[in-house]
Amino acid sequence: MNLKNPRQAHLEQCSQALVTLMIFVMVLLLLQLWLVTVALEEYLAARHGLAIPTFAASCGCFLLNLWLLKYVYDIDRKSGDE
Amino acid sequence: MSDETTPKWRKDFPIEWGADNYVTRREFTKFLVLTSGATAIGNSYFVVQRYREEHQKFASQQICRVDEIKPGEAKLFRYPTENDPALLIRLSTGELVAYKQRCTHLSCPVQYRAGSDRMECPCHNGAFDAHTGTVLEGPPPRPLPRITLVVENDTIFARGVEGS
Repeated sequence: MNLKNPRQAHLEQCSQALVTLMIFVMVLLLLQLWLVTVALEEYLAARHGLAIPTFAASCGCFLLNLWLLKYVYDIDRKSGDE
Repeated sequence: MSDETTPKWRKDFPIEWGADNYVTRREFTKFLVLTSGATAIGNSYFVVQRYREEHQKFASQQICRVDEIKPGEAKLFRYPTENDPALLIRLSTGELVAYKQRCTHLSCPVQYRAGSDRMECPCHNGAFDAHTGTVLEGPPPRPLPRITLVVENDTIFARGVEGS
């Protein structure tokens, strides 16, 4: 039986939590990249109707990512405390 | 542990081996958020371009006199800059229209065909309706940008570009 010390187990838990956060951040980033390609396609077609909506959505994704980053720092603080 | 009691090797390698996974994932997540910010800033470029194009000012430019161009004829001029060739066309109905001459596909110069009142691109056989500038056939993805015309004292002036 492989018994880990509490510190090691805690770090692994933190790592798992980080992976979950990272997946959310990645999905949002992919969404942003898709928004940029939509805006670029519109721009090259000399249409500008989607420029502001895509920018607003992209900013929304970034703010959401910043909010998720707060949890990264929370995890960081907890892992440092213990 | 104070700075004095920390061994030198610990200062050089501050991350313990067990925390390696955790630290790399944390740094990568921070990098992703930074990229997310850069992407949002990149997206703002299209908003700036939209604002610039909406507030672009066009000068008024004299093209020619009305009696210099007969129905079924076209006249080449340059508008809004010397690098923008444009076609002034007097349709068979007598109506005056003007479009940028660059095909919206790959920028080949389009030519006016008087008999059919259409503009054709010889490069890839694209065709536009001379009345509206809309695509009739071929690969062009959008209509030709139309130039706003004003007739004052029998003289034709270009005053702006629509759908550029």
